Amino acid sequence: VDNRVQRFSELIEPLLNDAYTFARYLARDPSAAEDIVQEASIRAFRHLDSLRSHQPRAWLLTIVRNCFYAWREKVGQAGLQSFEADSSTDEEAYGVTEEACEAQQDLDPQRILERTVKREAVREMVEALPVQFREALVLREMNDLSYREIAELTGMPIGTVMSRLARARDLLRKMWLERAAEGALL
Amino acid sequence: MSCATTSRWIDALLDGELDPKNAAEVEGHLAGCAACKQRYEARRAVSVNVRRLELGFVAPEALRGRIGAMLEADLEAERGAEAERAVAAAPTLRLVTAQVTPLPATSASRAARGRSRWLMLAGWPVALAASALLATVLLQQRSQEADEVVAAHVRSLLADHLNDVVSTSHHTVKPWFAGKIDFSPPVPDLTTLGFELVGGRLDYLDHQQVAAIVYRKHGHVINVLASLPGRDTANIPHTAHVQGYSVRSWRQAGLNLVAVSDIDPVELANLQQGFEMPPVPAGEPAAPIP
Repeated sequence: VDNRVQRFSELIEPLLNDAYTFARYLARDPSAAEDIVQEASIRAFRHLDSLRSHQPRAWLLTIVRNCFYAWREKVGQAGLQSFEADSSTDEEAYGVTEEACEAQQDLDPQRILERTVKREAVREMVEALPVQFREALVLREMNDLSYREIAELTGMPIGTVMSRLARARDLLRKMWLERAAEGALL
Repeated sequence: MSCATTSRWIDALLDGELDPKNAAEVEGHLAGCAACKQRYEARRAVSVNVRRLELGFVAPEALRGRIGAMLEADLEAERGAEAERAVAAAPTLRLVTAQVTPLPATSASRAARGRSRWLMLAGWPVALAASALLATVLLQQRSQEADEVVAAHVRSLLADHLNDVVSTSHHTVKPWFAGKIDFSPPVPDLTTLGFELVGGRLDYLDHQQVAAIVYRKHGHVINVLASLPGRDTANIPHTAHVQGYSVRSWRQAGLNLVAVSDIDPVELANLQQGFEMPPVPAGEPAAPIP
């Protein structure tokens, strides 16, 4: 038993920021994120014996994700919150991309992006992404998982992970440039 | 390599996920195609800037504290269960329990075990002689307390005061108790066992405030009353039957829990199991990820 406590503090505790970050972006609600991480931690603790992979981060985030979907289903059933435009499909992943790029050619996107440093505004934009794109982006850019890990975690083929990530980046960039043009971020 | 193919590999390239051969091919195309190169730079800019801003969150200290406390409680409950099993395995005690058990069915009462532990020290001949008397005393006390639990249950049904908070979400019911009562009762999601969460309320049991968590199964209402130990609720027998109602009590995470309903007693055993080891909600992959 003590061994399990020690393993938890060595393997899982250092990952709580990752878990909380992922939960925050998925649930978009600080207290729900805490509930989710709490639930995920106890599940992780109880099933620590089944952690055999070399990647405790991906393992823990998978549990967080399971807890998030359980929470979301509950909240959705209770009609407390509706889950928005999370329904947009992967098939759209490429279409809008082209126009998003070309419409902004003269804005010198790189420079604008670098000038815009308001963290909170960008966090809101990430939160505004449909869930499957949001999750791919957060796992890649904030949790620093590999494509393979994201694919295993979400149960998607690597090709889908790639297209979701592409879509997420294009959507985010579009929002970013739009808000920058409004002066909201400067 | 075509533009369409290249655009699919752009992210893999900037994420360092391409093997050298494919990376070289994509880079070769980018070098000669302004449109694709621009697309690449656009996505790379997003990635670079998102990382530069460090948009991650830091887990609140309070959350870390709660997790630590929760694991401790979990361990304690586990140790408690092990100790109970060890006690149950002691031969002397089994004899005594047999004497103490004119209560219907499976009343191997944990409370009774706790009280009877001194009997093991006394040696079993003495225990046998004493137990008949002891049993009578214990039984009277116990049924009184079980009566109270049943009364609380009936009251909740009659007075239309089943729930103060109505919600099927344990994420709503559990926080509702915060600040109203000085402990946090477990509110597990037991839908996979067929128990629907209906809500929660505050109730009184022997002048003590208790948290009532209400479930429903096949039309039967089940009240689960949670209270701090040390009061008389500790004396409620493990299982009892009063006026057609089943009562089942157990200790968990430092709390006394007692479930009461007119449902089949087997269902209360299932409920207890669900409380002690909450099932993974439906729709999630089972093993190996908990």
